[in-house]
Amino acid sequence: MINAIYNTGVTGMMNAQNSTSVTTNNITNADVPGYKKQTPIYETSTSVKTNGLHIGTGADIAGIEASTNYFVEQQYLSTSADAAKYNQQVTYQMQLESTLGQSDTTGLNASLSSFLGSWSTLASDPTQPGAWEEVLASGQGIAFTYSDTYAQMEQITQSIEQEIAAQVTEANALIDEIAVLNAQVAANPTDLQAIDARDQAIRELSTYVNVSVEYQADGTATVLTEGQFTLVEGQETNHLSHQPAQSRESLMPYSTYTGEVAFSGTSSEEIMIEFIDDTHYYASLDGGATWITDESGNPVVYEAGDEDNAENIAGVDVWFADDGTTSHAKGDRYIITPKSGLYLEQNDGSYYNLTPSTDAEGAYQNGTATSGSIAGLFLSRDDYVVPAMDTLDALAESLIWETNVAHAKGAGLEHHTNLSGTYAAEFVSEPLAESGLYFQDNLTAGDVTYVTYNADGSVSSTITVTVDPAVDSLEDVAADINAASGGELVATVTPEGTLELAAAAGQSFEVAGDEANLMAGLGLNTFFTGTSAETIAVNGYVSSNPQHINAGVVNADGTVVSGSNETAKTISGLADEDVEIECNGITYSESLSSFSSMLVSDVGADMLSVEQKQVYAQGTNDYYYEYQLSSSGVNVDEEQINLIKYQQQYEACSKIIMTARDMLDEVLDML
Amino acid sequence: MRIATSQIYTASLKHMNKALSDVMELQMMTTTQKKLNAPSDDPSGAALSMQLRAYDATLASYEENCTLGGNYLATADSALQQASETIMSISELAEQASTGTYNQSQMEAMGIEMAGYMDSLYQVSNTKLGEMYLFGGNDIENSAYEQTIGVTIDDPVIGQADVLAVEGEVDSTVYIKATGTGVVGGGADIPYSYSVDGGKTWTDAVLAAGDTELTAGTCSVTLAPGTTLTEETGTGDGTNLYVRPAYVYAGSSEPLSVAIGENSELEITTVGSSVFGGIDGATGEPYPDPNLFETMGDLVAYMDTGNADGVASCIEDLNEAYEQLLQETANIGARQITAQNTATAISITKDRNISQISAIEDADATQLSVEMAQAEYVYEAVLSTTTNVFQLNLLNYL
Repeated sequence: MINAIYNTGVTGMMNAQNSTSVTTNNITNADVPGYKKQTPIYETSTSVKTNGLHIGTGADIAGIEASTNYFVEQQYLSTSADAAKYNQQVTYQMQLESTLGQSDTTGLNASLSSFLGSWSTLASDPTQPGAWEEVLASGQGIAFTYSDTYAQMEQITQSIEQEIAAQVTEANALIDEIAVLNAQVAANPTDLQAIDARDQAIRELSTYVNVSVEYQADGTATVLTEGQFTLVEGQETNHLSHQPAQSRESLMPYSTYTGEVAFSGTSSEEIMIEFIDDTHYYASLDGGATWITDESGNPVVYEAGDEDNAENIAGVDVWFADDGTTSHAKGDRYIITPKSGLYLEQNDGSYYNLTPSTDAEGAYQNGTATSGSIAGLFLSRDDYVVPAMDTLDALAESLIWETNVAHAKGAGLEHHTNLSGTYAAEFVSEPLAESGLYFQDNLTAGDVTYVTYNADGSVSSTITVTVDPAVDSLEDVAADINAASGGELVATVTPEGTLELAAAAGQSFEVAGDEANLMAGLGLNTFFTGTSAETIAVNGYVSSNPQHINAGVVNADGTVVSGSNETAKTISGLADEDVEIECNGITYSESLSSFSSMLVSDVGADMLSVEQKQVYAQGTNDYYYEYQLSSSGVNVDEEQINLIKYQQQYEACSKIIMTARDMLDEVLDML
Repeated sequence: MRIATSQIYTASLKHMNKALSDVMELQMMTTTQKKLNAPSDDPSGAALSMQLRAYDATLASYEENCTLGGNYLATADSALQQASETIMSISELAEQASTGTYNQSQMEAMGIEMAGYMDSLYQVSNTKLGEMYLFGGNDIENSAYEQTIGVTIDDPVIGQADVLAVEGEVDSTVYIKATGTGVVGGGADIPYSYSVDGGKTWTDAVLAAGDTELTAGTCSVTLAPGTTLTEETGTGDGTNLYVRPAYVYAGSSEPLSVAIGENSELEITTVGSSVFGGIDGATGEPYPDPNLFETMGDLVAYMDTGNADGVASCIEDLNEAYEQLLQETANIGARQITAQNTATAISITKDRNISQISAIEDADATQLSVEMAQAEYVYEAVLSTTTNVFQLNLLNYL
């Protein structure tokens, strides 16, 4: 009987020691991320029957439990992915916003105002060299502002690409780590350290991609992304992959087409096309939910063509190679992803496209990544940075065109002897409207008039050619000019596809009229070269000789008056003028300055909205973090009390042993 | 709620960060004195302020054009005031000369004086401000008028249209009269004589059959073939031609205009031919009456040759030319007023525009300093409570 008391005391002391170890472990791990407070679980030991009585034999530690609430953990993981997405977006959109700083003297509108203002100054005295220099300097200023802003945005997309690659690698490392820890847990389900490490790895993974977890009976965790795609199951893993622009085909079983779809150009949209007969197809930008429609709301019917007859869908040229263009079957589908994307490795070795994709309303498409910082990076790139770059391009293109249209039919203070075009036609014998000229759609039918001058400056002749872009090719136009001018003005089509005009020896010429916008379309006698924010520059022909800045126009009698300022007034009048600007498939009729401010306020509003979402998502995530921490975190004060409790328990148990010894001594003394 | 120890630290950090970032944001507003520092601070305000700024720049260029135009017009206006005074003197001189009470040499002296007035009006017509000619239309780089010679015709049938060319140089009026009747370029010779000293001495000459050019010393007059010359017998009813100085308009027929509003323009130079007349450089013929320079040329010719009746016949033309000049002066004055009024209106709009930009962009200094004090106070309070929480520890009591 006394032995039993001894035993109980010893077990109690052992229990107190073990509990003290757990407490100590808790205190020292108080600050380790993912560590869950551990508690020894006491259980009453079995009783023994002595003298007809059931007497207890103390308590045992049945196990050590880590406290965690897996329901809260699921919420935490889902909100963590949301918060990470918005945090990532805030980072990059803040950078985007910082490229668009506006002040009195810098920014899109300040440089536009100074450019247009310089033409107004020129209009008040077209002969003043100071005014020429101001026009040149402010023209170069606006070109630099556009191209530099564009380059900064480009830089942002490159950092995003690099960060996507880095984050995919980190996420894959976590996926591997989770699988390894799953194996440890399966082998030893009570290894709390392994479980903690695995749960922490899952938490880290949830900042990269949206994850949900299913806990299996063997203690392993199955990790899914978007609730349906397996990342880790036991020790099996499916890795994420960051892949370049590509296309995928999904042909009908009876389709006999053996060629391939090809594309060039980049877009932030994913294009899906579906054949409606053997040669024609519809296209969709939202994964097939809606088709691209024309102005009257009917789906646009595209025709399959070879490289020279490519269709342009959302800025991407699409054509078919290797097997003709008329052997498709109805229902054949292609998905063209003209941008790098996020893919998930499948068990059969193929890849599933997870790239986040939103429709026109901004809603996520089913089955694509919706949260996590990797999704945030893609969304920043595709929904914000690239569209801002497209808008800036549209703005620059419109400024180039509007300035050039006015400038190309104007006259400066010095006549031309030679003009070289800056825009090339790809097909010089096709009608201009289909020649591949960048501004081919802006040409209209009308007369183009040139005046030639003798060496003494007197008018020699007036040459008029009629241009119809739907019929005349660049070669036709050159031939017409040569025929009409009788050798006084020689037009040559260069091998590059540009047009050159040269006056006969000793003569010079001016452009007196251009109803067709031919000169602006070919880049002759223009102020700007280039077609986009990236390529805009002041024409070297003008900057090397400011007397070719066209402030005026040629009079009806062919002369150019020194103070003629019609062209300068037209260009400075662009400040108040609504012009047509086509951007992302929408045609705006806005002044250049209000379009610029629209770009800035769009970026600002997006930033504001993503900031608000970030605050909300982070707040929700913090709430679940606190909630979980509140049940599973270590409270050092609590552990101090436990320490005292176990110390006292230890003392009490040692007292039991002393008492039992005293009792035994008493019995022995009796002998 | 149970609190884990690390919660105390994370919560404290979070609160400190939040309070500090509020302080930093206000601090930025205080240093820039602007509440709109990035487009996301107020996206629609950012767009509006950009548009207002663009509008402001446009207004500034209109205002600049008004000021510049005002200066040009003021200069033109004072030049024409001076011309108007000169014409008063010319008028008096012409009245005197038309009375017929002066002898030939007195008339010649008046002719010299008149040529002097003509020259001073020529100077007025070529008024410049800086490098810009004010009466040459939009051909601002070249002088508005150039000196040439013209012909005054006193003949029953011949008009300026019959004169194909006047060439050569004259110091004073060269007087040509027909001494026989005939058709220019016809089958017969036509005799004529000319005088280079106002009619005191005469030199005889002949226009040969088929010829059209009347040569008179250093100058010549070419007439259209088929023009009839009538013998001058002393009655003044025959062909009398006077070759004398004239001015040809070399400027443009369009004034230089600049924009002073979205749809309004201000003409800042003047088409000189509508003020001074003279000879049209394009056709070689004089502008239709009233034509100040041609009338004065006629006056010089008649004075040089002592022709009081001729002078008298010019007085009405002179008055009409004077009226035309006054009208143009009034027109320039009106444009000057337009420039001034527009500039005033623009500056009021600009002020309003700027105060609107300020309302969008600028921070309210008082409100900002109150908010700043508040944010600092909150931050200090967070710091102080944080230290208090950190001191709470069971170990202190064990």
